[in-house]
Amino acid sequence: MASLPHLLGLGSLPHERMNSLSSHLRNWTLALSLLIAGVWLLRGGKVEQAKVDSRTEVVLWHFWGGADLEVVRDVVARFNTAQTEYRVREIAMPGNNLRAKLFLSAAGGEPPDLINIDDPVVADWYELGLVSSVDEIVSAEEAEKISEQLFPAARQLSSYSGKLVGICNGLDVRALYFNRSFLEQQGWAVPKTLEQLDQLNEQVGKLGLSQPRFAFLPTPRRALFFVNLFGGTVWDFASERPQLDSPAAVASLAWLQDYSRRYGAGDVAAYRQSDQSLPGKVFPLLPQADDQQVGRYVFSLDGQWRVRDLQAFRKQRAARGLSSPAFDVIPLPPPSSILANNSQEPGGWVNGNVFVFPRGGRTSPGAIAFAKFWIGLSNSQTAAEVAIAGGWIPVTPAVVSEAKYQAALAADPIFRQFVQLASSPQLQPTPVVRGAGYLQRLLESTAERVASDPSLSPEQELKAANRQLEDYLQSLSPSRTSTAGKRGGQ
Amino acid sequence: MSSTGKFNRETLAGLAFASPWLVGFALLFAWPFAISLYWSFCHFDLLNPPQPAGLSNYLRLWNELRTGQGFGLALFNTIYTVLISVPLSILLGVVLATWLSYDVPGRGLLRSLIYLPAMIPVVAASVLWLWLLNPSDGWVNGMLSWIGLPPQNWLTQPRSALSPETARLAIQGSPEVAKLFGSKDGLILMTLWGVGNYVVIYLAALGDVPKSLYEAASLDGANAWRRWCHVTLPMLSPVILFQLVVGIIRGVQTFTSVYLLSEGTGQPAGSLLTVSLQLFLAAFEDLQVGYASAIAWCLFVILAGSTWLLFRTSSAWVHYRTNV
Amino acid sequence: MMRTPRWVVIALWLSALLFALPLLLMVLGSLKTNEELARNPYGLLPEKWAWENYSRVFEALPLSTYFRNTLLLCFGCVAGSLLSCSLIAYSLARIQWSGSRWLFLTVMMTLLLPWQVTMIPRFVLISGLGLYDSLWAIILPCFLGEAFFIFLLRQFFLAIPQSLLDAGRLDGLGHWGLFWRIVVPLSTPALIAVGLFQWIETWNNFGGPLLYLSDPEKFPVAYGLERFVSSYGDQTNLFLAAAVLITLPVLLLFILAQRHFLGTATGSGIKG
Repeated sequence: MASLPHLLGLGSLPHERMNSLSSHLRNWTLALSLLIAGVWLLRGGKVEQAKVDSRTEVVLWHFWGGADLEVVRDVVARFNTAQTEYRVREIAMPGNNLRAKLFLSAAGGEPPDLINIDDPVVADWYELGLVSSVDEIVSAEEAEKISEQLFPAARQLSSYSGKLVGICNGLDVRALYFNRSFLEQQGWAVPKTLEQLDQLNEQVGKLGLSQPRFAFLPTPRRALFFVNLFGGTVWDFASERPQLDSPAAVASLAWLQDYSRRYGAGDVAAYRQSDQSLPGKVFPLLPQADDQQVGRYVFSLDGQWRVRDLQAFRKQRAARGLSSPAFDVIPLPPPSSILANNSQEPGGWVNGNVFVFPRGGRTSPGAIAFAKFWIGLSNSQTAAEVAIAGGWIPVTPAVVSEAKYQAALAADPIFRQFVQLASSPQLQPTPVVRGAGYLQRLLESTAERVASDPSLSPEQELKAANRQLEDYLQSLSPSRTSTAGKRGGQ
Repeated sequence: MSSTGKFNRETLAGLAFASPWLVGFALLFAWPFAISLYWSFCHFDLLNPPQPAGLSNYLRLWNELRTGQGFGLALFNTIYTVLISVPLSILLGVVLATWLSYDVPGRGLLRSLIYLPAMIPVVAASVLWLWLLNPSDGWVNGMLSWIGLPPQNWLTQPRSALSPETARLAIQGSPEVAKLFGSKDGLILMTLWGVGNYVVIYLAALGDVPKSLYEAASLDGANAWRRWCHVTLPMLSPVILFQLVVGIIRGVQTFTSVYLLSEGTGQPAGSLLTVSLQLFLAAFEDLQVGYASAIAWCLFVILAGSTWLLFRTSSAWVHYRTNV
Repeated sequence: MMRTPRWVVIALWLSALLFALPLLLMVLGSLKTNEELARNPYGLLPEKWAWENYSRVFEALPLSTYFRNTLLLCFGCVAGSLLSCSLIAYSLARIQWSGSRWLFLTVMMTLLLPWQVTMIPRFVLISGLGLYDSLWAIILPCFLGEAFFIFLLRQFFLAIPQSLLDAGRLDGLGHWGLFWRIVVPLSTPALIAVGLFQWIETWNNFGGPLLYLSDPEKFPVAYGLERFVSSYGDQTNLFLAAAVLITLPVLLLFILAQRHFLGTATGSGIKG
């Protein structure tokens, strides 16, 4: 018998007697016919595949899973029944693959018709020629109409170089959750400035509890949020150059670093690190043990999706006959200097999910139609129902003012605050420019470095980072658009 | 049957039978070989035509080698895993094969049990080891604790056992040294689990060793250990050389297990970013095909050089049977 | 030979146990509830045998589709490899022609070439042929030969006694006849071995689907499992069940065809 070792020349090689030709031919024919039968049988298993359908197919890639996946499927089903021209097929692509798979499919010549992304890549992908702008698929007037109906933040997220390149389908807003019961119990006032918030840390420290040890701990990962909060930006649209070392950026990083200086960089990092090891990655604001009424923090900056966590928590406790503390939310208060200068709503960072439309997809008008349906441009009631089901923040005022949606908001005052924040023009997304992802990562890593080593100077580190960013932007191939002075979506 | 003239019947037949290879070699090896060299001197984002860029990709590689980032990090990771796992696999393989060559009761079952893990699909094995190497409730740490050793961080720890950082910590006398094994060591452990492939080949090779040599050695008064060192190992050395070369070439090309254990990113902190993963990410995640091609060519040159070196130095320790 | 020292027996059994333990844990873990895995990670036998894990995996994943795709791939690749590699090996081993040495050199060269050098151009070529998102992207290259199998088959073909081929020539057979009527039937063991190895390699193939497939209807099991693991973050018992499911067929193959992998039971040992 032949085996791998023998075939490699090790061991002795046995010789077979020559069997009769006919029996061998018979064996081979039998084997071959089995093979063919097997393949044929398997091909026949494609029963439910061929839907006798004359509609053009629209392929959607996204990364939603779990409960969100059900909502997505619901929207797709509603769209498919609401019209007869297109049929959307949604494909969930979870995990870390999505971007590479998209590039592979584009290079391979068969990209999806639309894909949902939440990274700041709109500008880069447009420059690559990976995605079309909306006016290349439908008329420029229609693109303009879509753009006008979006909230300012959503419009910014969707636009590059003065054009509508994507269509934002949901906003992610972050605000300051807090444990109102605990505050009232301690007799503290709700902070109106950043300095007051910092001060509360001292008060909590005086209490000497192991939990919470801090009232609030800012994380370097939200560096962009804090820069906006301090009233500045990291990109100068007028000159089209990065401004990582703007005064607001320096001030915000200095503020961040101050926490490490006051409480010890190692301690701060370790405390924040332990948030990650909470079972099920639960919201650190929530009390863990049944007899506690306060969690690891009194204040926590987080997104609108935590509202559901709060509701679930309250339900769980009620089911066991326990009481839960009252939670509330406010926009993260700005530093007093900013507050003094203008009475507008405070700034902050906003992110969102954006539909983009890869070039080379077959039925791009269908993709636009679906995107419009999703955000409720002609069907604000359906979109309102979807937004309620998914817990998403709508991107158009029309959907927000729908009766159903208003009713839902009335029943959920905390969520309503997020929606109000979402419509604010003060919220800034990551600048939609080339290298936006690189910019964001650079800012965050600088913030992390500065926060973990109080001996570093924020100004110098930011200046160095800015130089690095400029070098990177220099190395990119020339832009295919002229964006001098243009700012997307204004 | 001598052939005179180029295009006689034999040549035609030879070409005809070999035609799949002629097509395959041209399409899948020769052209890619040439074009990837060209691309390494370009900037190419796969969606637009390549733009010539001179030596910039190679300069970038050189910088990264110096700073230990990017390609430098990937090369370190690759060299670490290959240089540790391949010799260990060979050692373990030879030892197990030697034991299996004895007349042990149940030898067939033992051999199958040892070979079995090598058959498991890599995806299933990676999922399994992700679970086994879990620092808080994985069986590997459980067994370590059971025999009194400290639990290790395995796939969550970037620092590995033989990295410079560990040496630094050891010199400082830091207690963190107890957390010796990191992500690459976890990968190596999983690789060693599949050593059955090696064992089978050594077993067959051991079968070729003539008994007379062992008899002569024991007549000279050699005990089992000396017999192993002076008869078994030298007789096995050609196969060991072969497995060394094959092991290194294969080890450098390992992709699936690294991809799965690091969730496609080389995490934690790039410690599992081997050259194969870095190349894939550079090409298809960052769309820098020129840079990726330069990486591939550097890898090829390094590999070719190492293989040549291995063969050149092999005459010192490889014993080819001349007359037995 | 010499008597087996006791310590060798113990060492062997211990080693075999260590090698087999992870597999045992995989199977047993797949039959536990997630809650039990979290609560008692070091227990061996399940307290409650959670057979429903397997039905849940079937619900969560279109496993029949995945298996169908894997079988299509395996049959296609095995057929392609057997056909092409045997043809090429015959050319190298049993046809005396001027190019055979050069050809053999190219075959050996490709063994030393890391796939990294050719991966991206191959992708460009194969997708340029319009094969992106098609199982043919993975099957077609098998019809063009694979160096390792060519080498193996060449070794085997070389060992066929010339006398048999001469007898065939006397019967009036040309190379084509010699190939199909003498060489191939004689080489059944080697062909089976090559077929088995190709089957296992295709079953395991992850990089191919990663590069070339994007429609979930076409995913094979190995790739499908990876998508599953990415999306169902913390359901360890379900992963293990899925892992067992894609391992079982390979295991079965191994048990049935053991001797092709390991050599005959009596043949591996010190001759004594």
